[in-house]
Amino acid sequence: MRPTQPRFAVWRILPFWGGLLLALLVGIHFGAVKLSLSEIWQGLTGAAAGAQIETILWQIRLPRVVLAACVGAGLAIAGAAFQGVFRNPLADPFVIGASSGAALGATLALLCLAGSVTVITSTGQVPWLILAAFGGAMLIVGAVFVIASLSKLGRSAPLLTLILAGMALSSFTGALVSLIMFLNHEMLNTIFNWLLGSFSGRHWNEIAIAGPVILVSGGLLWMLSRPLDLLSFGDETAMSLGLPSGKVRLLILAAATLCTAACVSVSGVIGFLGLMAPHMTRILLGPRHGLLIPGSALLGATLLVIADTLARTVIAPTEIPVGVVTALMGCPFFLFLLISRGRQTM
Amino acid sequence: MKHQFELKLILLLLMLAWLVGCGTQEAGSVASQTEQGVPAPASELPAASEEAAVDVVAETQSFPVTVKDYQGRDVTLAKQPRRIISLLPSHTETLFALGAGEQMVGCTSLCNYPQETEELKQIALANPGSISLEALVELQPDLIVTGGDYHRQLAAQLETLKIPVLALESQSVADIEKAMLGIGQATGHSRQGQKLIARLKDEIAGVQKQIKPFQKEERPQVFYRVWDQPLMTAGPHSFIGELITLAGGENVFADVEPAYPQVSEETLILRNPDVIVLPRMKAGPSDAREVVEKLRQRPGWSDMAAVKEGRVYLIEDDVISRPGPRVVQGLQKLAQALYPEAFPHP
Repeated sequence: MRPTQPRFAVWRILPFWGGLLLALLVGIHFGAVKLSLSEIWQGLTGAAAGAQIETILWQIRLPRVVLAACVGAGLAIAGAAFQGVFRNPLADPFVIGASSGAALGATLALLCLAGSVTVITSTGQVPWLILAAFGGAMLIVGAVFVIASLSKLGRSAPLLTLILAGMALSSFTGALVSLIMFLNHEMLNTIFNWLLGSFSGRHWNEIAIAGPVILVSGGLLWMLSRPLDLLSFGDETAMSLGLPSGKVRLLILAAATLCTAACVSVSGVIGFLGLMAPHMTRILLGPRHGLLIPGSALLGATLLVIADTLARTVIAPTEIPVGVVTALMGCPFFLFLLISRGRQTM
Repeated sequence: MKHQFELKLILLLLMLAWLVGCGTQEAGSVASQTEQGVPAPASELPAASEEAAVDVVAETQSFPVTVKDYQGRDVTLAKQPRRIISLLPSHTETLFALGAGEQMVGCTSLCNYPQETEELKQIALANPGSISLEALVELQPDLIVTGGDYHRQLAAQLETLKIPVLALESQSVADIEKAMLGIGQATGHSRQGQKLIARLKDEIAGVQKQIKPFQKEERPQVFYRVWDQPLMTAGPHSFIGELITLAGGENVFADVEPAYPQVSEETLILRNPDVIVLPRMKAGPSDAREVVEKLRQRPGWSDMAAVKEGRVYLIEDDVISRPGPRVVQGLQKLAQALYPEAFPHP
C-alpha cells in the first residue's frame, strides 16, 4: 500500500474481497443446469461426478464466471482511470471511442465470417472476432488521438478535444454499424446481441487472450494511482508538484484504452459498469486512486459476475444479454448509494 | 443606387422567367412521360390479359372477389390483378406455384426462387423500413402481397395510397395453407390454390407415413442451430420447430417461449441431442463433415451424442426456413436426417 494511505485503509477493502468471493460462488452454483453443491465440490476436486457435469462445470460455467470477473474488473479500472484523467464524472471506458470501434470491428468480422462462425472462438482457432474487435477499438481510439492532436483547440484544452473527437467518431462508427445491421437483416440479432454485451459461448480461450492484457494494463493503472490523484487536482497543481503531466496522462489513457479494448473484444459492449462501479467505490472508499482502483476492480468484478449469473438463469434455458442486466440492476443500486451516502463524498 | 435597383429587377425577372420555363418544361416532361408511359403498358397488356382471360375462363372465377387477410379483414379486388408485387420470398414462391407468376411485376431482392424471379423488378429489401414506397408505386401495382405483422406499417401506408394490399402471415404450415388459399382467390387461381393445399397435405402425410414404421416411443432429440455466437436455436413455436415435430423429432429446447431464442450451452450439453441440424448458408461450409470436425473442437461438444456419431446435418436454409410451397423439401430432408433408415435411396 502507498505510504500516503492511512494504514487501516487496507482493511476497508476486505469486504470487497468477501463480496467477490461470494459472487463467484453464487456464479458457479447457479446456472441453467442445476448443480448441487456436492456435485460442484466433486467436480472441482476431480472426484468422479459424471463427464457431463464436469464438462459443464469446467468448460462452460467456470470460464464464464472468471471471464465476467475479469471484464468487470477491467471496465471498472478503466472507468476509474478515465474519470480521474478527464476530471469528468461522466467519463467512462467508452468515452474515447473504444466501444464503438470494437463494435465496428466485430460487426465487420461477423459480416465477413458469417458462414464460419462455428470457429470464431473454438479453442485452438484464430479468434478472429476478438482480434477484429480489438483492432477496431485501437483503430478508432488512435484516430481520436490523431484528430485531437491535429486540432488547434488541442493545445488549449486537449482533454475536452479528446472527448469531443471520441463522441464524434463514436457516432460515426455507430452509424456504420447501424447501416450494416440495416442491410443484413438476418444478422440483426447477432449484432444486436453483441452490442448489448454477452458472455454466451465464451471459454478459456477468451480469458487466455484478454486476461493478461487486462491484468497488465490494470496493474499499470494501479501503479499510476499517485499521478492520477495529482492529475485529478488539475494540471497546474500536478505540474507544480513536478509531474510531467502530458506524458503521464498519455500513458494512463493508453493503458485504460488497452484495458477497455481487451474487455470489449471478448464481451461486447457492456455499458453502465465502467461508469458506475468507480462512483460506487468512491462513495464507499473515498477518492484516492490507490484504494479506488483495486476497490473498483473488485466491485466491478462482483457486479458483473452477479449480472451474468442473472442473465444465464432468469429465464433459463433462454439467455438474455448481460448489458441489459447491468443497467437494470446497477442503476437503482447506484441511485440508492447516491442518496444515502452521496453527500459526504461527492 | 438606381442602377443597382434596376439590376436587381432584371435579375428577378430573369429568375421568374427561368422558373416559369422550368415549370412548363417539367409539365411538358410529365405529359410526355404519361404519353409514353401509359400506352406502353397498355400495348403490352393485351397479350398478358389474353392469357389471364384464358385462365379466368378455365377457372370460371369471376371478379370482383373478396379475400380475407390475416386479420380477417376483407380485401376486395375489382378485377384480376395483373401487376402483382410480392414482399415475402415465401409468398413469391406461392404465387409462382399457383401459376400467378406471369401476373407479377416485382418481388424482393431476397426472392431467389423460382428462377423466373430474376426477370422481375427487384425491390431492395433488408427489412420493411428499407422498402421504398416510391419504387413500389413506380411499378403501378394492382396488388401487393405482404407479410402480416412484419409489414403492418408499410401496408397501412400503401392503403392510404389506394394500392390493394393482401396481408398474409407466413410463420407455420397452417399459414402456408391460408396463404395458398388467399393468394389463389385474389389472383384468379383459387382452384390451383385448393389443389396446391391438397398436394401439400398429401406430401406431408407421405413423409410421415414413410417414417412411421421406424418411429419408436423415444423420439430423436433434435437441436437446430440457427446461429453460433450467441448460441441461437429455433423454438417450438417457430416454423422450424413445427417441422421438427412433423418430421418425428423432439426439439431439445421444447420449453422455450421465443421463436428464435438465445439458449444456454450448459443446457444443450446436458440435454445431449441425438441430431444437430444447421441451415446451409451460401457463405458457409457445404460439407457436413467439416462442420462436425469444427463442433468437435468446442469444449463439451465432443461428448454430445450427435457429434460423436456424426449426426450433424446441413439443410439448405431456403427450404428449411422459408414457409412456402417448398416446405415439403425441407421436411423431407429433416425426416431423412432423423430417420435415415426410412430413406434407403436418398
